Amino acid sequence: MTTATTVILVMVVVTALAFDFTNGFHDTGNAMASSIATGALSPKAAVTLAATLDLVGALISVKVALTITNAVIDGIQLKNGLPNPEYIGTENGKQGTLLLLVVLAGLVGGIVWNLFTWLLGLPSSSSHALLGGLVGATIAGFGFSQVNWLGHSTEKLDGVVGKVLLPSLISPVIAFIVAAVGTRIVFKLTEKMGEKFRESRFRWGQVGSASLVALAHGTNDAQKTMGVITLALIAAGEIDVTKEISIPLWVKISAAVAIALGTYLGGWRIMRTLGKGIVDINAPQGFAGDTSTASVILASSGLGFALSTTHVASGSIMGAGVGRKGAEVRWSVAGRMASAWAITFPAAAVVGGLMLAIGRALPGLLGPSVVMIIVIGVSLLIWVRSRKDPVDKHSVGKDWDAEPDAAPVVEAAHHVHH
Amino acid sequence: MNNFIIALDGAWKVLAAGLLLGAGIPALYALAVNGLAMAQGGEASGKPANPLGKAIAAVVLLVILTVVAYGLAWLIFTSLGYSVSFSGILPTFKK
Repeated sequence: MTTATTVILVMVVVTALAFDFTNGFHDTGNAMASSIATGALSPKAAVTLAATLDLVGALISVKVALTITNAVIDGIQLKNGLPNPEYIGTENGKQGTLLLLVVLAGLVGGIVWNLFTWLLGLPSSSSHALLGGLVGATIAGFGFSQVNWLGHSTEKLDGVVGKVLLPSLISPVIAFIVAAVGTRIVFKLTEKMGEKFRESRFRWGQVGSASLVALAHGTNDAQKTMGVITLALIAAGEIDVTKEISIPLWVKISAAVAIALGTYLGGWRIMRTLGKGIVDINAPQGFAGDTSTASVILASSGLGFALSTTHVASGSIMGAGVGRKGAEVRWSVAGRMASAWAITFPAAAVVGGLMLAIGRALPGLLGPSVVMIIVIGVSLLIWVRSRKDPVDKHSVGKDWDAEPDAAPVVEAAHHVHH
Repeated sequence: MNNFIIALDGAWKVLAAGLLLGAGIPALYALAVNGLAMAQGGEASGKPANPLGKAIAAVVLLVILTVVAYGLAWLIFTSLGYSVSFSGILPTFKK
């Protein structure tokens, strides 16, 4: 393997782990938003619990996800998920480097979209961001027809339509229904109960239900990054594809740790939207919502369907909101979130496509290096912008319509005294 | 079109399983909490304390924990690559 390929491979691995990290904090809220909103768990305890369970979940999942990318990209990958031999390694004119570039570009597309939606505090699907980025890069690198749009299977959901579009429309609706029904039942059964008592007992329950969601998330999401890194290793010729492919241990551990660290960071901006922005949630709603999320995620994976944990969690929260009489659902916030979902895939695709074009336009290592500089630069820009209206573990539970933090006023007063 | 039909077919199954667990467990938990309220009485249930409530709560919580344990076993073992079946009372695992 040439030095150039090694360098690009290292870039891809680092970027993949960075994507995994953003996936972590993007999704912390899915498991913990309602528990923090009701006070069932302190913010610190919640992120620690979520991070630990994400780590555990990621480590126990052994089934590999080469087939996640396989479902949407033709030509580059064979039916079993392995790359077309044309794209393995760099000897004899093989184009492993091109596949590496596609993966790099796709990851950047995913990262940029994840960061942008984080800045806006919008829960959106990290899976779709990654797939969108990869599809965009594939289109830019190999053409429109190399994307598996409609699928080839007559028995299983396949292709962009089957693995991205349909689940994104159907799963939140299912989660909504389940959570609404569960919440309505809970309130009906506990009508005569003292409110404080009910609230406190359901808070206990929330710890359990939130834990289940975190565990389910861990088994679901870290796999994507493991699959992408393995794909890159194969493309670089580092893995022998004639034998049965197993994920290298370092890939598994690094992906598990990356997502857990991201989860621990908290993603407070997004969490606030889920826990306070869409609906002001109380403990029974939170419990029913989380149980719905965990059940739908597990039922879907069990039946072999692709899904986004974010779509399911958001659907549940809205359903739980509707399940309680007199609860106000801020449909404007929900609407913005739905728009974010709709444009996630194409937006990430545009970034991915652009990155691949840049990566290929410049010679040798200059191309991918520029791509790396761009993603680092964009990340810094977004982070700096986020400091203007920060949300952290202290402000995540504040009322949605409350006055902005007094911090700037206090700072100004401080300056006046000097 | 194919995808659409498969998706709808699958959606029913996910909805059914989701409702069973996702609405069923909260319903059970509500019953358990009712039991606890009954046991405590006073402000919690609006009636005098009734120790029968503790027994009810204990039984229901046990049921919930069993369901969750089965679910976790399924999750963990299928993630590890086993196939799990529940044909008997206790689940069986096969690599």
